[in-house]
Formats: sequence, structure tokens, C-alpha cells
Amino acid sequence: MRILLVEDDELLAKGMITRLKRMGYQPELCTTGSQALLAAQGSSFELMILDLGLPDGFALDIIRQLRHGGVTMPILVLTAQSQLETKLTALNSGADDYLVKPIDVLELEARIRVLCRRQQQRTDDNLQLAGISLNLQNHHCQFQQQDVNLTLREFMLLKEFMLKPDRILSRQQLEELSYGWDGDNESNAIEVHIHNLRKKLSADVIKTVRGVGYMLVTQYGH
Amino acid sequence: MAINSIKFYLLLGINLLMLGTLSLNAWISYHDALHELDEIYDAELARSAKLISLLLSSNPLPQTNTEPLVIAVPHITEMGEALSAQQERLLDGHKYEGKIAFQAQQGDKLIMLSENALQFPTPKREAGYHEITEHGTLWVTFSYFVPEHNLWVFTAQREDIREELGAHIAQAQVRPILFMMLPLSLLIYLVIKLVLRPLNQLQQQVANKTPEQLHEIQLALPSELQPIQGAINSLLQRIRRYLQQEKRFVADASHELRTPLSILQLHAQNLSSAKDPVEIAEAINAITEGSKRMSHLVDQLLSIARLDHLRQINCAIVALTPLLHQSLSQLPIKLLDKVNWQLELDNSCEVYGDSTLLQSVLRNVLDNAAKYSVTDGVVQVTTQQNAEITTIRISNGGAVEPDISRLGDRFYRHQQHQNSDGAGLGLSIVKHIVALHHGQLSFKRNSAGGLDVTLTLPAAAPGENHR
Repeated sequence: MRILLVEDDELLAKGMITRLKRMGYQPELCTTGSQALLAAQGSSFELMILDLGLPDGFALDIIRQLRHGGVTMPILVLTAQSQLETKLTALNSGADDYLVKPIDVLELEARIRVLCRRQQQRTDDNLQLAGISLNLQNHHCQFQQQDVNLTLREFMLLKEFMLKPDRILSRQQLEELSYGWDGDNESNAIEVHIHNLRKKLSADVIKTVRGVGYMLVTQYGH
Repeated sequence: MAINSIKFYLLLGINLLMLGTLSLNAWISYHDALHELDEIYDAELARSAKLISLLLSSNPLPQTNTEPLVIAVPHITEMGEALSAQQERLLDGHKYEGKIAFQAQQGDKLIMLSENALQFPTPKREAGYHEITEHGTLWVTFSYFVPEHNLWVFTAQREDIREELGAHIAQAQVRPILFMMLPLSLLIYLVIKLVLRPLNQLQQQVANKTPEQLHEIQLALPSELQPIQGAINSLLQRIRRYLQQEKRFVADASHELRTPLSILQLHAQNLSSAKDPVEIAEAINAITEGSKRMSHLVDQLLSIARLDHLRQINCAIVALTPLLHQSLSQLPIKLLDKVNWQLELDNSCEVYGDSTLLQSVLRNVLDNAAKYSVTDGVVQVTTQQNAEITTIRISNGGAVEPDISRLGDRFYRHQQHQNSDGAGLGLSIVKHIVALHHGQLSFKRNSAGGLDVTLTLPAAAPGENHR
């Protein structure tokens, strides 16, 4: 799934994007609050990371507007201020968690996982479905108790399928997920990745719905 | 109630004044009454004497009487003995009647006297009023002579009777005062309490203020208290503004300090687990950039700290044009090429100041002018000197509209330029240095959408006449 990163500092954003990508997320960067608002209202994200020190004003207003509009995605706030007042205001405005700069990457990762877990109503970071076991923390994958080696993109795709089993995911959705907004849509990279996943797992697990997209089938082979 | 309070002093003052006025009133009434009584009794003495003389003249007593005729008078009540009105008005006269005594003498012979005149003082054979003391009692007497019958009539009255009546009248005056004092004091207390209630309300409102709750006080107060409420409100407003500034400063400062730290930490952690050479190069680059930003910030903070403690600067007369050229030459090439510089310099201009500090002022202002100008815009620098003041005006065609009121605040940066390498401390340093030189720095938006920065500095040392 994608993460919406709202950070105005270029260098800080770069480092976060590198990290998030390594975690198996596709981060989308917004540098202003208005961009972030448009992005969050326009498409769905697994999580939003929001820097409170945004240039064009009030990050808190963005949280309030999103919450008011019924957006339930977890919001993790980054702030340079350690005063209780700031933290309370952020949490009371609708943020789910906060981190005070300077950020420790391991803590950031753990908090992102916690927020996603809670949002998806899981108790751990292990997804288990259709004989597949996928660990979201160390990206470890097993199929029928056999270890499977996945590339980062394969992991991202499989995670998405396992979070939404028995539902059709369109090709565009999957492309956005693995390449982001700036991705190169012309290639048939998605088809290649799906092909590889089928090879590594089982051909029946991911079904092609002609003209629509792909679907992970939990009751295959019956 | 506290002793040192308006309420206490009001209550005390009003009560004392009331008591004083009423007492004075009673005292005056008492004396007036005494005077009137004197006159009434004096008249009565004279009337009684004339009446007796008239009686004795028309009906002379038989000459055969060797003993004087004693006239009985009613029982004399003792002084101060309380009597009801009924007891005072007796069937056979009035209780005070007994206190008027009389004697009549014909020739040398006492012919008649009242019963109570047995203790009568030796009368004075001289017409008119006399005061005679006899056995420690003061009597007022009246002597009346009828020459045709060689008749002396003396009437007398004890002075203490008069005083007793006077005391009665005075008591009648004082009693209501004493009875009224307590309820009146209580009423006054209630009125004062009611009148001072707005003051209490105001006091409570002020006492309830906390740094988080500095809203204006909006009480419907009497006109005397309204200026106080106004003054408190304007004070609250100033405190609020000050607290806001403080908060903003802390927020801005933590943002500026912690963001580069975050960059360093994040990229260092990324680097420790990076395998891709591109990622490694990126991380190293970011760490270098972050450290540069951090050291720039530290440099500026240190110069602010130094300026904060600087009380004296080494001033000298400095030629302005070379100073400007030096400052320009120190700007990054990127900025020098970004805009067209239009210099209209009066080469005779001089300033009185510290050349190193002034150079950093000029560099900062010129740097900002170019940085916040539209690309290929014009930055105009004009210098001019009149009398003892040198003015430097730097105008650009701006790309952004800054918040003029916040220019020069520590860590203020225009929101569209938060990514530029500054930390928002440059203008704050400039402001500081200009203040040290007793100069002035002002900002104004110009028609080109940019900013006119006007810097005025002394041209000569204070007290020195300009050439």
C-alpha cells in the first residue's frame, strides 16, 4: 500500500522515502498542505506521515479537514516541538500518533507498522491466507511451509493481494502501488511481476479477471 | 474586612461623620432649648411678681397680722424623679409650680411668702434679675418694687429646674441618634458592599487569569472602573502577544534546529544498511548538506549570541561605496548572476560605524534582495547623504510577499522559501547591528511587488559637526 508523506524539507523527505521504500511501501511526497489535502481526498493511502512544520500553514487544519470529511487513514505526525501542548493538540485534532524530531528510523518503522496493524485490525505482522504466510516486518514469505524469496516489488504486490483477498485489484491500482504517480505505465511490468509470483507460489493463487484486473483466490483448487 | 480597605475606610468615615453631625445637632438644640427656657422662666418670674404685687396692692393684707402669711405649694418632687405626664399635671397645679418661690415685703416687714420660700436666700432690694447662691444652690431671682405701697415682691426659681428641663430636651434629641446609629451603619455597610461589588468582580476576574486563559475581561462596569478594565485588557493583550511570540520563537527554533538533526540521523541510519551505491551516495550527500546547514545555523546563532553581549563597537568614519562593493563581491556568483544590479551610488557618502559589522549587514540585505527577487529582475541600490544621516535604499522586484511585521524576527522565513539554505536569522542579525549603530531599518512594499529596504546610519560621530 502507499504512504502519503507530507514533508517540506527536501533532504529529510529524501531520507524518509528511501526508508519507506525499503520497508516495502510506495511513498508519495507532498511538500505543501494543500497538495496533501488534495492527494488524501483523491486516492486511498495506508497511512499519512505529516510534518507539523509545514510552510503553507496549518498542518492541524489538514488533519481536521480530513477527519471531518470522513477519512479514516491513520495519521502519524512529525513535529519539531516536544512540548506536551503541541502533542495534545495534534492528537486531539485527529492524529493517531506523533514522533518528535530528530526521528529514529527504527521507531518510525515500528510506529508505522503499529498504526497499519490497528487500522487493518490485526494483532501481529503476519498475514496468513491460502497457504501463504507473509511477514510484514522482515518480508519473510512461506508457501506450503516452504520459504519463498520475493523481490521488493513482488512483496508489495503480494501484501496488497493478501490485505484484500477475493477482491479484484485493477491493473492501474497495482501500477500506482508499485511505481507511484511518477511510474512508467507503459511497460507490462505488472504482468511480469504477477507471472513471477504465480511461478513462486502457485498458478491458481492469483486469478486474472479479463479486462478488469487480478484477484487473490483463497479457495483455489476446489 | 481588612483594615486597609476602601470598604473599611468608607464605613468608618461615614459613621464618624454621621455621629459628629448628629452630636453637633443635639448640642446646638440643647443650648437653644436652654436659652428659650431661660427666657420663658425669666418672663414667668416677672409675671408672677407683678401678679402678686397687683393682688397685694388691690387687696392689702390686714395690718394686724404679725406673722407673715405662708402660702402652701404642692409637694415638691425631687430632682430627676421620673413622673408620668399625668403626675406632672396635678389637680392642684404643676410639679414645677413648687419650684417658683416668692416673698412680699412691705416696708421692712415680711408680709407673705410661699411655703418653699423658707429656704429663700436673702433677697436683694434692687429691681431686676439677680443670681444668688445660697447653701450651694443657685437661684434666679426677680425683684419688683411698687413705690405707692412701698411693696417689694421677690420671685425666685432654682436654676437646676431649668437645667433638668434642658437635659430632657437634649436627651430627646440624642435618643433617636443612638437608636438609629446601628441600623443606619448596617444599611451604609450594605450600600457600600453593593456599590463596591463591580470592583470585587473585576478583582476576581483578574485573579483567575492564567497564561492559558488571557481573554479580555468584559464586565459591565461603572464608568470609574472602565478605564481600569481597559488598562488591564490592553496589558492582557500585550502579554498574550508576547507569549505568542515566545511560542512561535520556540516552535521556529525547534524546527530549524531539529530538522537538520533529523536529516543527519535519518540518512546515517539509512547509510548503515544501504547496499545500492546510488543510495549510499545520496545518503552521504544528504549528510554533508545537513551538516552544512547545521554549521551555518550554529554560526548565525553564535553571532547573535556575540551581538547580544556586545555593548560597544569600534566605530570610525567609513566610505560607503567601497564597503558596498566589497559586500557585493562576497555574494555567491549564483545570486550575482540572478538579477540585474543597478547601483546609483553617491561616492562621497560616509557612515560612522564598524566596517566589519556593516559589511555583514550590507551582505545580508543584498543577499536577501537577490534571493527573493524574480529571476532577471532589477535590484536597485541607492545611497545618499544629507546632513548627519546616510541613507541606503535597496529595492527589488519581489517574487514573494513577506509578512513585513515579522521580518527580522528570529527564525522567520517566508513560507515559500523555507527550503532555502537560510535559517531565518540573517535579518535578525542585521536588525541587531543596525540598532548597535543607532541606525534604522525599515521595510516597505514597492510597486514592483518587491521590497524597499531603507537603512539609515549616522554619517558622523555623535556631537561632531559634519564638514
